[in-house]
Amino acid sequence: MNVYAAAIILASFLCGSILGRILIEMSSRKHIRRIASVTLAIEAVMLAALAQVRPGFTISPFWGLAVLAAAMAIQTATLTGIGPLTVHTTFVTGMINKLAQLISHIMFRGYDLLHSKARSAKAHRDQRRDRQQALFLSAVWLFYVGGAAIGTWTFSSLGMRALFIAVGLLLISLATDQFSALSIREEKEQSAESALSE
Amino acid sequence: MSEENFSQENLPKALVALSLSFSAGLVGIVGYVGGPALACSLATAWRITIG
Repeated sequence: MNVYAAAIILASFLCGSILGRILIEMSSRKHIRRIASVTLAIEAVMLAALAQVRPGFTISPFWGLAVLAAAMAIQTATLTGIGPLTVHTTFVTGMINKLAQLISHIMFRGYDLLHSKARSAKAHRDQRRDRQQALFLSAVWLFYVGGAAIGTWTFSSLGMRALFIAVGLLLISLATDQFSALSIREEKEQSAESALSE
Repeated sequence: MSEENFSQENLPKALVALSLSFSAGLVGIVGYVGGPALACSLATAWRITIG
């Protein structure tokens, strides 16, 4: 893959990310609560389109990779946090840092709790919360690796049609958005940023 | 965030996050893009040794 192909894939990720943020900003201004349905539907259509491409087509003609990169960027913009916990569902290297931070907090607080005579309910509560968050981030990682493993396994038999598994999961997520709006936090962040700039 | 919030109010969101992470892992390895180094390395290693 030449440098131009790499640049185009990177640019398509940026464009996808911008598109996702634009849609969330628009939904924030128009008070549309279920914008995740739109972004996830766009992603599902992109993946489904590629899933029908004949095997071995994606690597050389790099446009396929560019579409996948854009789809992942849109997914990134769709869900960025659960409560105060920042979550990235496509690039999770930043989450290693967050996980390390949480583990460090847990270790130091655990040491303090062990050697402190005073019973601090808040410290125990914080410890439980951090453990819960660390567990969740670990689960995200496991699911990511699990997805990669299943992708490896199914690609040999299904080829690009393996992407239909991801499409199916996106449709389930889309259905979830109907009764529990997924991108509320993202909309609020956009609103807050807009208010600050005004 | 209280524990109740994380376990109940945000449960659908948490499950979707796990689901989307799984999808991203799958898409990453099928398309060889978007994956973190570790997941890609693990899956590639598996592919070479087993697949």
